[in-house]
Amino acid sequence: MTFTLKWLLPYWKKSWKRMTAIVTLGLLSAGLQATTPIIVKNIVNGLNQNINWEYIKLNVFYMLSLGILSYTVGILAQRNRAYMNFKIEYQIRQNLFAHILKLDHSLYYKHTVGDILTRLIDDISEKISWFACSGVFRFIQACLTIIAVISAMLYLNITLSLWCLAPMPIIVFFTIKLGKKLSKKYSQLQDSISEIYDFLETSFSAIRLIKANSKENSQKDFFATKAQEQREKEIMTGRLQIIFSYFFHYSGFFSVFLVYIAGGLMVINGSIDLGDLVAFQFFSSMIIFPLMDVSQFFITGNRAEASIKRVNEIFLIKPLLINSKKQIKLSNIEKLEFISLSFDTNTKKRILDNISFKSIRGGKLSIVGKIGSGKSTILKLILRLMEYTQGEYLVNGINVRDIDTASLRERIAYVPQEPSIFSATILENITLFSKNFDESELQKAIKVSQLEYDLSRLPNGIKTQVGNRGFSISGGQKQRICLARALLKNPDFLIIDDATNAMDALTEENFWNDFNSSYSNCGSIIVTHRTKTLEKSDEILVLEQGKAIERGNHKSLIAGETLYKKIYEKSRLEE
Amino acid sequence: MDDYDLDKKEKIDYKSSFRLIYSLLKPYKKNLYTAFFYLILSTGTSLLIPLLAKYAIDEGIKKKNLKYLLIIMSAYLINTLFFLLMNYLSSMKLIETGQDLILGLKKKLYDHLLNLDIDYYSKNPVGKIMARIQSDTSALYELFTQTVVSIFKDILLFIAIFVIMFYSNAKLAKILLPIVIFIAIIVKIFIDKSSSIFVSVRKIISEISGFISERLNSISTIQTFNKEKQEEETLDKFNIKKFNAALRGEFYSIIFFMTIIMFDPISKALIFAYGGSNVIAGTLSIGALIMFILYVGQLFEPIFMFSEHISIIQKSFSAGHRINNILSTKPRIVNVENPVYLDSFSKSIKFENVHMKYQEDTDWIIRNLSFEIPKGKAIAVAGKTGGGKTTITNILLRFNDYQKGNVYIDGIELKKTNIKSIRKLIGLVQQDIYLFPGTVAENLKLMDKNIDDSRLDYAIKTLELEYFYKKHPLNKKITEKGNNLSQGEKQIISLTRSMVLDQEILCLDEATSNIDPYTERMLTRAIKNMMKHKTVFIIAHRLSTIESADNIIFLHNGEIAEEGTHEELMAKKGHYFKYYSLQTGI
Repeated sequence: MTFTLKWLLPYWKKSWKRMTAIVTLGLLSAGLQATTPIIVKNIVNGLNQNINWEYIKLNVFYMLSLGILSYTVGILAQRNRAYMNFKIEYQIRQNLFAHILKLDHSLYYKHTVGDILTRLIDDISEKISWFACSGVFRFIQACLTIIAVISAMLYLNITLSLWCLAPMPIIVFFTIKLGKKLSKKYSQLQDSISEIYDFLETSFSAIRLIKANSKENSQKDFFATKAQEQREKEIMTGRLQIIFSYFFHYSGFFSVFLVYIAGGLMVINGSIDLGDLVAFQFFSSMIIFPLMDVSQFFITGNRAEASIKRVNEIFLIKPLLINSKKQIKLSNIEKLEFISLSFDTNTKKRILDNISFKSIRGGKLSIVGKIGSGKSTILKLILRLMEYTQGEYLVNGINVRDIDTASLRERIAYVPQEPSIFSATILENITLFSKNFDESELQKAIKVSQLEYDLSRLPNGIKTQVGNRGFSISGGQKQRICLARALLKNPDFLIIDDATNAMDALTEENFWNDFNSSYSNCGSIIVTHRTKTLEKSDEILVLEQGKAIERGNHKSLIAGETLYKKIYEKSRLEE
Repeated sequence: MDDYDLDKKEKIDYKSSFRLIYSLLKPYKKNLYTAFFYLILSTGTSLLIPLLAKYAIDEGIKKKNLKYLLIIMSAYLINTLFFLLMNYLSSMKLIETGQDLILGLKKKLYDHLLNLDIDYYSKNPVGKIMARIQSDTSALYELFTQTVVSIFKDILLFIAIFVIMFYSNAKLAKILLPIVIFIAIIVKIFIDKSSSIFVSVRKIISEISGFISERLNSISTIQTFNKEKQEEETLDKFNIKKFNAALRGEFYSIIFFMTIIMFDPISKALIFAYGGSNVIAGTLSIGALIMFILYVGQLFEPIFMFSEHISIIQKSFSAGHRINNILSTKPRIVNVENPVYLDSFSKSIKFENVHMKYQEDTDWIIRNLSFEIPKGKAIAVAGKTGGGKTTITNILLRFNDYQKGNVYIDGIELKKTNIKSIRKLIGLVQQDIYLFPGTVAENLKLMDKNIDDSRLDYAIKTLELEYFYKKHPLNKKITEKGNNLSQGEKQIISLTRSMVLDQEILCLDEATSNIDPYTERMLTRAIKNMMKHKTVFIIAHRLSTIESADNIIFLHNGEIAEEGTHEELMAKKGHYFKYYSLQTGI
């Protein structure tokens, strides 16, 4: 719990004025809540004496003004608490999303999209939000009420107070013990929710596959098992919650029980009088409602803790990129160079070993190799989506770690293997929602990426809405939208990860021809197996198991008995 | 975002939401009665507690009767334990029933969603649909566990107290009548005012979910295009919307709740003033007035509880409203009456002058298409991207219906067949590959537990992929949609999957595009093996896969430009020849 509170502290500090107001208003409303029944009781008791119009008028006035006061204070206190609940929810989500955007790709080795999504939505909105302010500050208010009552009790009679408070140690003991269990169960529950999100994500994305193979039923079964698992965990935590709440809600009953027996004996002995005992009973009834808030605090607190830990787990992941303090901003890139560069995974597996190459702006570098030989990794390293382990990576002759990453990415355009398409119009997909683009640059990018013909056939042209992750357009069209997006940057280097292969040969051929004439000054580094593209490369890097075993242009490589020759000839045959 | 702005004032359809909730509750009536029974018992015993305390004082302590005190206090203890037990039983019954209900609802929703047209999925982002299954249903949970049963208890309690008050003094009770009516009016106003807000809160939650899941899937694009700030700002807009809407809804609830509470002192003051004047006039005894004021306090307890329920009801009805929206969305492509159920495929699939377009106001995507796929043969379709190739598979699998012409399968009109039966006969391997969180084996079976493991071995052997599956054993866990696998590896799994699923006809939709020649060789061999066993319909631009087809159709602008075997088409020196030469560089 202390961890949870410490974690929330910065959020409270940020809005300390409002938080102070919440505490003050809370105290006021607690005071009003406690005094109103007493005052009303006194007024009613006053009826036993003489009664006249003056008395009635005055007290009706008291009653109504007290009512209005509680009304105002109550609304202000609750609204401010609600404000902070939603504000903190908003801030955590915003911060976490910003953090995730900064992380490199290693995040996705451990966490799935469904999992991260659950943490961003369910954990934050359903589990943390209410506790973040209401839960904590209602607790503080309740504690103050309880302290006031206990002080009054102690003032009245110490022995009897001790009897009244006797169940306390047991409550504290079980709170801690059960609290730990509850927290554990909550995190298991959240994990099972993550799994469901994860499954649903794939299931809905793969809807065509499922429908085409009539596998709706097995999907339903699978979903049912997962949902059933969540049900069991919900019931389990529900049961623990009830038991937990008993220690607080109803401990009052046991206090009354003890007070009556002990107090009764004392009255019979004559050590106290009956009035004291009745007062004690009144006091213990006064702490029933605040005790509910206390139990609520521990229950929602343990729940929030499980979720906060899940959120914090992501916050603790630090970007692996190493950057020096220099952070030189580049305005253009003329040369990219790897010198004996190696890359290991976090499990110390070597993916790339001693790679060296140089690529000049305007030049064409191609990378070929088998599955898993490390081709995509090289491209990701160039873009600083990952951090290399050994060797050097120079941009314009400067160590890349001294260069501002954003400025580097500004001048390099990347087309990943799997096209990323957003539910928006084609135009928005190309411009990535930016409104500052040059119309003629856009037309040029569309023309070069061979989209003109496709756009003319679509109902709303470039304003056509692309469905969820590009449902309604073909794979080749998706790739070309991504190409247009890259070209619109007017980059110094274009990096393509095998992302022209869903196009037919003619389209690809046209693309390269138009690219060479329209973006003659742009260098390219591509992973490809198209023989035509390979032939025209200035340099070809042949990878095998993370090592660059051959390097040269098509002519020189094809001359010897090389791996390249094998690949090339096989590719030709396949085509 | 547009979705939200357009129907900002969308209000809860209470009738149909109620019908939905009632239909969900109906099968669990017995459980709810049981829970209610426990609840009444626990409320009853809780009423005994102050009574026992009173006896303990009056009879035990005041009369210094220690034995009596102990007896009463043991009764008090037993009573309390009984109360706790009843309370526990009632709560657990509600939790279990609530969970069963939610589970049932989730399954129902998921079933329904799976039956919707592909069209629905192209309009709604995955994250949005997910939020409906998970988040909207859990909003209903609170209703089932906290409100459905206890609201009856509160209403009963209210009526009981009011009747007692009426009996004890009808004149004073009548004064309270307008207040009760007034409260009813306030409840009505609150329900009207907050309706659209709660609906929009639920909507925004699903918008955020949709937005985030899409961005998470495209994170490298966002990073390499330096769009982190921009995407943060876009989320910020959604987030602020959520903040404002949620706060507004909560504010309404707070004002509503506090206003109801306000009626407590108002009523007391009213009774005090009116009753007091009667006391002065001598028509009412002071004792009667005091008792009446105490009653007013008790009367308000259930009213407070009731108004808390109203908030929960409002929230869950808005969720119910949204669930209803989905449930009332009906698939457009459905079976005709008495459809023909095709058990097997024996002769051929025939396209006859088929025309098709996706939207009314556009050109034909394919026009006048006629060709035949005889059983056991392989037909390939080649042509420029966007030329309508995938449309043919959409027609075959009945994802979309054609407008003119006809398709016959074994001589039966495609539209007259049972959709499920068609999809059991025809399988699909797509370019986009989806792997589920689970093992390789589970993925090969597409999570179908009824498929025997021997089918896996058979498929792997037939496709000659033993080597591949030695490297990727069947019990290997696939994480995050196969991020630990390369594109080519995923395609191999996807192809094996289609062999495991064992359909007689297979559509390969650009299934081999994104890979290096090594894997392609493995795949081509696998496909060739597959062709020996199945009727295959191939869409590809890789001529290596097309070449071995028995018949090749070359599409141009949605029409057949050329048709024939590879050799015939090469000899023609037309479109196909040009296309093929370009790839090989002859």
